[in-house]
Amino acid sequence: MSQLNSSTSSSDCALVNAKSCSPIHDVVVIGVWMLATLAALDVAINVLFPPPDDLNVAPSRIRAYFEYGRSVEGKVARLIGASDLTAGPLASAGWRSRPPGPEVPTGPRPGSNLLLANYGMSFSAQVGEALAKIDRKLTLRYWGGPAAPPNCAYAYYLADRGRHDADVVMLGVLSNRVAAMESTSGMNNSFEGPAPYTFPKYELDGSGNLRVIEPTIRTLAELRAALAEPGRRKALIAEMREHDAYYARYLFDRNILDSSALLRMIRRALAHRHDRAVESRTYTDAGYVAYSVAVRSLRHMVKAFGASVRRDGKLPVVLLLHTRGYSDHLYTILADVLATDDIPYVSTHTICPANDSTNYIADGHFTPEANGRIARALADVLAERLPGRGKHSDTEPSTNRGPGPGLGR
Amino acid sequence: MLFNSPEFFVFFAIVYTLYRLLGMGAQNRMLMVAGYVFYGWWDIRFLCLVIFSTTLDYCCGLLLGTGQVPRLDRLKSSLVLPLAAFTFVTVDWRVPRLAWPATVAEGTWPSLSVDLARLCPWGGRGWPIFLGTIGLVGAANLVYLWLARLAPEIRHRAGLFVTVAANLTFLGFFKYFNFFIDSARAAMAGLGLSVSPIVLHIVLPVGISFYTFQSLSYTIDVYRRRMAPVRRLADFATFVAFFPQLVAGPIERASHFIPQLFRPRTLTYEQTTRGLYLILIGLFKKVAVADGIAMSVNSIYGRVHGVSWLDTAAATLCFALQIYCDFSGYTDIARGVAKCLGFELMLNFNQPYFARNPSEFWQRWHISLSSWLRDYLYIPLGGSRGGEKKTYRNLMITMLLGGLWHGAAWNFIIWGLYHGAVLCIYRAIGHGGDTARSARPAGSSPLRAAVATAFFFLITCYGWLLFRAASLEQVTIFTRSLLTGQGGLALTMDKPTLAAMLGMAILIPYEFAQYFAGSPTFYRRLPRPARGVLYAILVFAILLGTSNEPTQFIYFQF
Repeated sequence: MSQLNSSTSSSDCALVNAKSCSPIHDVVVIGVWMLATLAALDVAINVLFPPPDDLNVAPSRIRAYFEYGRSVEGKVARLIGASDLTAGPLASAGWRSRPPGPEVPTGPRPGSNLLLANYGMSFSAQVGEALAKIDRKLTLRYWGGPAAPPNCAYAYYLADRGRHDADVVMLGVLSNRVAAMESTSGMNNSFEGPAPYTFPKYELDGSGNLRVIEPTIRTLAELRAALAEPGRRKALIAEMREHDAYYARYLFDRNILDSSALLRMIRRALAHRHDRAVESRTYTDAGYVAYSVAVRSLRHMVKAFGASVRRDGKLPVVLLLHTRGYSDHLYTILADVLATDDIPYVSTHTICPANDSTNYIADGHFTPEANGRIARALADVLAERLPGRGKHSDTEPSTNRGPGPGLGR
Repeated sequence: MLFNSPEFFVFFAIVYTLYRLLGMGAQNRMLMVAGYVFYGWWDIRFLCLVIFSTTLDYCCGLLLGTGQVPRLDRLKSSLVLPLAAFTFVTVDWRVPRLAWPATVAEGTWPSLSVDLARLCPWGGRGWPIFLGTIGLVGAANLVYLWLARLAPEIRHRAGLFVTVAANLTFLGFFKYFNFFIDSARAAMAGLGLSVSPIVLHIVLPVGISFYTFQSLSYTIDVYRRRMAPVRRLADFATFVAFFPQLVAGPIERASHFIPQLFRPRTLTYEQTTRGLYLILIGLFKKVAVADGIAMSVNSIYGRVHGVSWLDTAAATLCFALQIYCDFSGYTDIARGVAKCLGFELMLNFNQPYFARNPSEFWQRWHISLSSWLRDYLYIPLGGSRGGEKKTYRNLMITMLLGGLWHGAAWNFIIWGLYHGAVLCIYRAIGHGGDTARSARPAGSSPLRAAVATAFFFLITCYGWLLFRAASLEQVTIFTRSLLTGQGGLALTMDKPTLAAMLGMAILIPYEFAQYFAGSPTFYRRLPRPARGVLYAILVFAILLGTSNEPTQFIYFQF
């Protein structure tokens, strides 16, 4: 057996007495200084970079950085507060219990000749806004949630069906949120910035139809109550364990680890690892996993969306939003469905290639120029599909007029 | 298994505990098994390749060293290869499933389910590979019987030919097959000839270049009678599969490592603490610095157009730092882990960016590869013994193959040629013999040395541009940008992470301090409290880096 020899050749040993030169003494002194320094750094971070007291104020980047590793429950509890009065602005976003209010148009505004109902997330909202800027005869109706996965956008569409007279209904699909279709809320699948809203999960049943799994929590008040009462919290945890692939107890539970900045960083690392493991079931470097639960559900959902919108006498449009690094992968898994069912679409991969970082701003959204290009491509699709409507005003010519995989006509 | 993953730390804790409990012979066997577990973690099928390489070179070593492979050893080797092919390729290890009980009522033990029909499927490549391996073993035995009848001197040379040809064919098939097929197809297309491509979907096994070169050096050394052949297959397998350096080096020499397998190993306090420090500094370089700037580099090298002069310069500078920290960080961890187990691995990086000339650079950068190429390629080609022209030829061939070793892509070939040309020019202007292996060469004015270092660093950085570029078009556009100042000082590169910025603020002064101290253990001269603070800051930077997205070690692909 190997022996751990206690000899040392530290140069300073010759100058000091044997006791202070022993390996144990060495380890203890260095270890104490090391731990003390780490503890001091931990305290210093907590003192210098606390989360802002006012939830309406966005934290600085460095403050946000040290908060990323807080537990999901810790972040959500802080965000939703004890009541609506003390809740942050994100707390109320995305809930289906809060549909678009009366101020949101249900038909074309005076002077416009088309209402486009847009369901998705911030990416699709920005494209819609860019479209409205170049097409003055267009009225927008938008309903979305923070980083909403496709199942959530689809649920908004279904919930909003019959509440408006839109001519065009657009479903936004965000490439990096396809894997999040295996969850029922915006909490666990967005570890660093969880959003408390919930949405249904769709799965294919044995006969190939979409089966809906509705979350028990439907409102912010219900979530607040669930996190406050042990019995309801237990039920919420049980539901997440069953239906939310992203749920992990060590990432969700609020506990003493939240108090240490260094341990929060470790938790953040574990969260990245956990998310990668979950997402690898749906997406790999080579593209989406065709047989994964999320991809199969998404294909059926897009099909169902197209058929449903057409049944209502409206024009369906699918907006395929490729986030940075996703190449043309989203288009690849949906191209045949869109072609077979003749669903008009705009795919960003040819308009703003996902490997070109100049198309994106630092937080991952498209640049205003990129949104403008996508909007012009969308305007072209609408002009072709709705020829009787007449040409929209103030429209610059599209830079991508040729028929290609980016534009479904 | 990645050095910066939690699995590795659990794995190493188990290995270390077993190592401390076992005697020397059992330690070696345990290290062999640990190496296979470590390597098989990526893809268990790759283990078949490591065992193939091991068995081939073990038998060739015996043939070259003693003139024969004893019957029992031949029998063992003949059984090991088909067994490995069956176990690791024919059997689909994804089929057995462990199901954990969902409720307490169902018990506490997992149940194992195996679909026997899918365990060894007829339809896949498993059975053909198994049967092919049996055929290969039969053919190898026939070749052996033929070799054994040859005159000793001819047999000696033929044995060398067999080992070199077999190893290079093995490496060439897995690493370069797709590249040559694609290049040939492109060339034919250029001539207006259309050929249907041969598609084999060959996956590049992790670290294949490292362990192939390592085991090849063994047979060549035995051929040169610089070392005796290893008598037991398991001992040789331990050398090839020693997990700290298995997938990304250093490319250890058998004559340096194998004697350590048979020597009693004593773990000293100093060796252990030095090993732990190497692991710490290696993780710091990799996790805090290299991973922290990877996104910045990718944000520029991920596109071809819309890149300014400053973007190109900054991204290339960052890549120089990234590749150094990534690769030397891996080596530091490998050396640290080996030290904790009582083994010494060779130094692979010696502050390469302080080199003042190309000759010195290659004595400081990836030392195990550059010395391998020198000893087994450059010198056998004639080195500098045949006059200037032949020396230039030999330098170019060596560097070209050194570039190709990194990967099957034109940019690696150009990178190799570029460094070959730099070495030739350096020699042509009359500095060829100057080398400096020591940490800090003496005898030149500090200002001159600083200017030379800075100038050669720029030369090196341009080489990294060639190395990192994703296409020849990118090389052309980025080079034009650098030469013409196209795009000016607009900076669109993503900012490095906080961990990387802190890491660079620590690393750069640290490297200078080490350089001027002239010793990699300079930190041990610090007072103990200062060392405690230094370690804490490194741990802090690692934690910062760990919380960001990790990146695969760059050199795993080679």
